[in-house]
Amino acid sequence: MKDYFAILGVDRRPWLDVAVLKGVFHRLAAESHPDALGSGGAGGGQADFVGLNLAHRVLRDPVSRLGHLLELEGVDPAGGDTAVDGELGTLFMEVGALGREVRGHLGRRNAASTGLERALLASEAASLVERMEGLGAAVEKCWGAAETVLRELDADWVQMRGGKTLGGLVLLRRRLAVLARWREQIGEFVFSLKNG
Amino acid sequence: MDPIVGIDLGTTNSLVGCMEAGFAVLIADAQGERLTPSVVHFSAGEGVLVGREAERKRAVDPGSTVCSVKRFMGRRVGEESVETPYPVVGGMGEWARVEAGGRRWLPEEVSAEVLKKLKRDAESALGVEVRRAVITVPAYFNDAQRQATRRAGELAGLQVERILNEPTAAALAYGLDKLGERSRVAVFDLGGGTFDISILELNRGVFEVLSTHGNTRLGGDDVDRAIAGWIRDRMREAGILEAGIWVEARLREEAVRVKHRLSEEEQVRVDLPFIAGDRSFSAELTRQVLEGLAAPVLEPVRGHCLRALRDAKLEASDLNEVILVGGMTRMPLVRQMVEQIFGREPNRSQNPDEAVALGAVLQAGVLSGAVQNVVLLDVTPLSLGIETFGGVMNVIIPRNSTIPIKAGEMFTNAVPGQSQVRIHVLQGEREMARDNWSLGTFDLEFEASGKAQARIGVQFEIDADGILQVLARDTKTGVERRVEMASAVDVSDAAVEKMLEESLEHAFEDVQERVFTEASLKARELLKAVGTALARLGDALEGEERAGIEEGIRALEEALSGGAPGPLKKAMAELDRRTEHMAALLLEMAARKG
Repeated sequence: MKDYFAILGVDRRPWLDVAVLKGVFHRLAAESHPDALGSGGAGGGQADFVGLNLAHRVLRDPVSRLGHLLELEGVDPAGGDTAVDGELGTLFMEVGALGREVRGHLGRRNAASTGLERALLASEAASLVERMEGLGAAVEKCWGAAETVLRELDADWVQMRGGKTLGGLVLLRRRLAVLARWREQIGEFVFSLKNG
Repeated sequence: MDPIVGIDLGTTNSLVGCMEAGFAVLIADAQGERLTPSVVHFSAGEGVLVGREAERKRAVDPGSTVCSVKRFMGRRVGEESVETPYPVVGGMGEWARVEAGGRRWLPEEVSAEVLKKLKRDAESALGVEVRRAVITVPAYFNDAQRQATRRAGELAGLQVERILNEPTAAALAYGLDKLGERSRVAVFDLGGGTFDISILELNRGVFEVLSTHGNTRLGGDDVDRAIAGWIRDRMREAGILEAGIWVEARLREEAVRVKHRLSEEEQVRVDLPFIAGDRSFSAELTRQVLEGLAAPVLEPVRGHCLRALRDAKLEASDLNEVILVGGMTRMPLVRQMVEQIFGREPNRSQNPDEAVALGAVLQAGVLSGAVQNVVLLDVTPLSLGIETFGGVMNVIIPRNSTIPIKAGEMFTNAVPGQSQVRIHVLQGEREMARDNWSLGTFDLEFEASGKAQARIGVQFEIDADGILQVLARDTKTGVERRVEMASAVDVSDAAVEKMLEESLEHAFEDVQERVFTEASLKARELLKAVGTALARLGDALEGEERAGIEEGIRALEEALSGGAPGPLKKAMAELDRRTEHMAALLLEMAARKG
């Protein structure tokens, strides 16, 4: 199995500064991109760049980064207790219910063939945006909290690389994965509601 | 020396250039012109004419003069509904071909004629044979359109070293003298037939595309068509009913002329001498009227821009510049739209006609080594996936992934002894496979074995040209081979089938009755909406307006009981018009609340 941390030459750890990571990616890309060969670059062609590209994709996202890290450590990222905790459970119901409402609204809007019919839906859209954004703020708060946990586990990791951290990372990865999906869905719903 | 030229193969115009003493230079033809109209004239007597010579034939012999053929590159019959003076032929679902000069031509064969002319011009200027080229395409081109462009190059005797996205090329032209800087820019590229918006991060010589979006059927041609329609209506009012492809060709030519003039002037005279025998036609067209015609045509660019921003995870205010390229960005209305969407005055430092070609030359320079310390990291504009159970598209490489990229999938046999599985490869963003573009199918052969024991790994690889390669590896033998996809022409293609079904329905049904039934459903929806709106607005509506709307309702109800589709549609349009102000009031109320 490939070690994406090694490919990018960064420390193997749970947290990474994605702006720094991007800088590294750009610097290495300039050397290994197939086009750079013409200008005397030291790269090894398309295969090297594709590996670099994949490494950057995986490491810039905390969910896939933790998954890769755990796999490198011989831990199954999908293993362990799969239950979601109470707070996320409540949010889960809310995201699902409001999502169904928005889908229904978007369906009606797509079916509307006159300006008047669309105008009649505008106030409903405005209130859905407001509620969706409220839910988005709650999800962002959870995301922020999860990122704080990530920084804490990262500090533990740097200190001791203990088994305790690995178990915590499995749970955290699952939490981040759920939240990331909701962030994406909520963002997409708000976008569709605002820009027919 | 074996030079690599850079070519912008545009819908309306094409250009060629090369690196000279470290600079990108565009090449002029024997007449001293850098722009070559992308027009090809096929005639029995004179053979093939290209460029300005062909354009001169457009008004005289429009049926044998092919223009804007880029719209048909990699397209199948039934996908592109634009009317053309030249016949577009082929069976439903086959590659579209144009008929001219006594034979059928694939769009890439027509484009190859334009490329041959550019190749000759470059050879005259450079004094050596030109065999290699970088050719640009709209960023939103799919796999089939890119492959067709590459074939056009090959047919013209050119080795295509790179298929380069037009907005990325323009960004290169813009950013080459700013290599030390870090910035984020959007390139807004509205040409004759296509629209692209790309968002890039420029970081010390690395040009990284963050997202791209667009529309390969939106451009100046569509505005020309709207203007020609306006002229036709005015002519009809004046009692000139002359029709036919010659009239159309002259209308189109005049539409282009007045459109260009109205970018500078507030008002122009439409002049069509002897348009119908000895009758001439003339009328005033103001910029305001033009903008009224163009605005609805151009409205979709807003959604594309917002989508690109969202995909790049940026706000408009995060951008340092919005760069305009493409001839249509000369239109003041387009600049206003850009300013409104991005909340900043757009950057007009680039020549709208030449920036893409200069970028293509620079990329040729990167490949030859003449340009150092520059690398382009482009993306794939469309998600790539395969069809899975229930006709759902399973995304393997999401849109806006940096290319070149590779993704593996493992396929196994579902039942013991199963000897093969058919894989259907798709491109697009829709959930259902049938709503996406089909790239084709291929079969994987299994060795006979128990259920889920045979395994074949498949690699989907999108190269730096944005073109897909599929590799299959047998995990037992380790043998890897390139998979050839079956021709994308697939008669069982759902979209094509639907079109065929519909055309059969039409044949056996009373069309009038079906149209009326459909329209009456819509009319009832509209009546319901008007009732709701009237109740919601209450006294906020003036008595006179209310009376006008009520009259519209009565007329529509009457038309509903009549049974004829014509009057029903008219009554609907009338009620729609009479409720425009009411709709605006409702939107205002919603905006206040929100």
